[in-house]
Amino acid sequence: MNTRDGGSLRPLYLPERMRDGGYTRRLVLWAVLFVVTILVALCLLVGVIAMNLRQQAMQRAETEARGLALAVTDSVARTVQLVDGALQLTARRLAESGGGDPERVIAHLYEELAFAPHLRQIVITDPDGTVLHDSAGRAGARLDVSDYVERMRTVGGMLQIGPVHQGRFLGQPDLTGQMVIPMTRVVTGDGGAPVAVVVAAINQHYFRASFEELATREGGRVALYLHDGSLLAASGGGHDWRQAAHSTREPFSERLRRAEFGEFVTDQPDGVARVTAYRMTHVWPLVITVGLATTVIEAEWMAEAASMAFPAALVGAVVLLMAVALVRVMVARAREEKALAVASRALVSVGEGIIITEARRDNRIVYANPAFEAITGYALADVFGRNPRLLHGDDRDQPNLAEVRESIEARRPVTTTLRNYRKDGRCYWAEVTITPVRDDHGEVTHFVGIQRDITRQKEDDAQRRGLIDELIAATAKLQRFAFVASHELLQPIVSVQGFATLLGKVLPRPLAAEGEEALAELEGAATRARQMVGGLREYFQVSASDEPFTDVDCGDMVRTILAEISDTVAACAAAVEVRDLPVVRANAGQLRLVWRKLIDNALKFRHPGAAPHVVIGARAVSGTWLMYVEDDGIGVPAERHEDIFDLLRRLHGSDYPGLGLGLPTCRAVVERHGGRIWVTARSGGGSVFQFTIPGAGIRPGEP
Amino acid sequence: MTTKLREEVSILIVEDDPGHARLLEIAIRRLGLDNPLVKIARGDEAMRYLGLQGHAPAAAAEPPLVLLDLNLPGKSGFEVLRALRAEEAHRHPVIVMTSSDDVEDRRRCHEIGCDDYLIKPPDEDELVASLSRLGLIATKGPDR
Repeated sequence: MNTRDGGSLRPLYLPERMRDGGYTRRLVLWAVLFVVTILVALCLLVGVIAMNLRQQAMQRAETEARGLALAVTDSVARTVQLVDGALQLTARRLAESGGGDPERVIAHLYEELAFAPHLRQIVITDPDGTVLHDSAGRAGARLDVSDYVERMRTVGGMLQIGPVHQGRFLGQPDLTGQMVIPMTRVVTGDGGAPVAVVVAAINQHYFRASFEELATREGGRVALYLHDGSLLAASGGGHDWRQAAHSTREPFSERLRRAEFGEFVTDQPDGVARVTAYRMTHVWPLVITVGLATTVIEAEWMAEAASMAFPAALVGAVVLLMAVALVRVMVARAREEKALAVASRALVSVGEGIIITEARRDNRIVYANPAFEAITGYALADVFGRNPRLLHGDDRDQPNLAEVRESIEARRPVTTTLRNYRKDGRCYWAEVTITPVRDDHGEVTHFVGIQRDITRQKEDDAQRRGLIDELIAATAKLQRFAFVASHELLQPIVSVQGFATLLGKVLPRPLAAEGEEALAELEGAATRARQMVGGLREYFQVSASDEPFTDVDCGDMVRTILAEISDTVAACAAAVEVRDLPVVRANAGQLRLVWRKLIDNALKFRHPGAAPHVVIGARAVSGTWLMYVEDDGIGVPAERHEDIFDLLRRLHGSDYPGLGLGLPTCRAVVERHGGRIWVTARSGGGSVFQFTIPGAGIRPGEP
Repeated sequence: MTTKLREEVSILIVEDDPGHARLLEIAIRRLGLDNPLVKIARGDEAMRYLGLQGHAPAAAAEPPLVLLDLNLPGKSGFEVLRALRAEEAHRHPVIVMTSSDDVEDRRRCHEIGCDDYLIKPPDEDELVASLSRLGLIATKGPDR
């Protein structure tokens, strides 16, 4: 829509997609979608990476646990091997000596085990449990070795480990909290019969200490079990040594059957979930588990993930903020656009033709709406870049065009009527409004021209005026006709009167039967007819008269009338008071008629036998003169106040004979002058006839 | 019976309605006046007859009594009256006989200068009084 670039002049157009107001709305939706997608992708990425890291952490933990398990197993194995070695030797020696001289064997044994600091006690018994030698010095006591012997019989002659014995020394349970792990070998003689049992008690604490050292990581746990799941030694505290073997516990339930070593994650007896590596030794029935607490692993993992997620979140936040700002701007824009869309739709929809011109470029047309084309026949393409004066064709000297030019020069809005010409040359009347459009600095940049085709209206108006003129002419004609007709009607009536009277004079008397009556009726009827026609003639003469208005001195007029009827006045001894009367602008003849009639009536309708008192005067009422004729006669009944001025009522009824058409004629005259006439009852009897002559141009209060 | 009008005086009735003209004629005759009587129905004809407005006058040396209706074809009664009074040479006695009792008409006629203004149909007594006032006849004896 930029038309400000130097050379090219482009038309104003309102693109379809913006016109419906949905363009920016769609942009907003896309923008929102885009940002949401980015954020979601970011989240997913962070999530995936985090999961990956966790996976890696777990694997690292497993590897670590496995390594530890290996190390522990080696260590345990060495220890056990050491002990087992010594025990084997002892067992062989005992077997060789036939169980004879245990002391010597023991001395050897001690030699062998000189460097076994974990060894707490060595006990040698005979198969039924009698202690032959006890390093802890309780010879002669008994030790229950039946289990060992039994097992030897079923499983074979190998090192037997456990169960854990609570107490410092075998054979003497005490509850100091110290425990020993017995390792037993049953010595067999020839034929496989047991001859002695050698038990070495290993300080459980020895294992525990080394386990503790290994399980340096918080939550880590190293444990040593027998194959059947009974616990021998473990790092950490809180173990219940009296518990039986837990074959339901991992790895004892399934895993050991499948593999000798492996890893698993599970809750362990102390309730902590751990990544655990286990290892089994075949040589001895031992299982070592090394567990690393998942919480610790996860904590480490989360720290790592956070260090990665934090910057990602920062980026995400920035993106979100920017997106929000952008969306807000776009939403505002969408709102504006919607308003603009409505405005542009309005321009396209209205029935008035609208053009927009550029003020600085000779008012070239840059926009024309569809209605303009409908009215003028010119499309935007036809008029684009041209001045609107093309609409006037050759008709440049129209009177209103000068006004238009002036207003445009003066940057003033103007409304006027012009003759315009359609593209096909047809002329039409246009009501045109031209309005300047200002920019932010108050400079006029464009003009908007709005036009309506008022040809029909003008034609209708002209037609209406024509009809009204015709009507007025017809009415006037009718009234003139009535006037003339009434005069014409008079002629035969006059003849009838004349000849009737003549008959009365020339006919020989006495007349035949109803002759006199007939004559009388004839004369009477003729007289009445004459009166009626005379009255009508006078009435229609009012409208037929075209005498101009002049300044009429009512005082003079009334006094003249009184002089003319002085005989009548004297005859009824009337007292007539004439007050100050104004000069008014009126048809003198007609006004005289009114005064004459009112005065005549005032005298005529007096109380019989009484001298009438008549007052004639005037007063100013809001710029018009109100004249009155007041009498103290017989008055007019209230219900007749309207009737007596009504022409039709007067023609029809005869209840006020002698009144004739005088009052309707007075009303015709007064109304012709733009005034009103009416009668009111006078307090004290009689009537007050009042009439107004407006527009006299005299200020109230002036005489 | 009334005395006749002076013999030389002719009577001119200017009236377009034949019935009215006849009534007037009868009334005059019934008064006993047998002066020559001319009836003219048009205003312009009347003016020609009277020698008004450049026309050569008709025969009579003595100006006739003019009984003038107001509503005439050609020229109206007012115009005839005005023309009559404009030419001072012709001092005709004019009695306006009209069906109109319009006070305006009466006033105008008197303004222009009629000698009397009577309302049709002609009343014999009024006619006598008027002629008498004009000095054209003298009443003698009682009326019928």
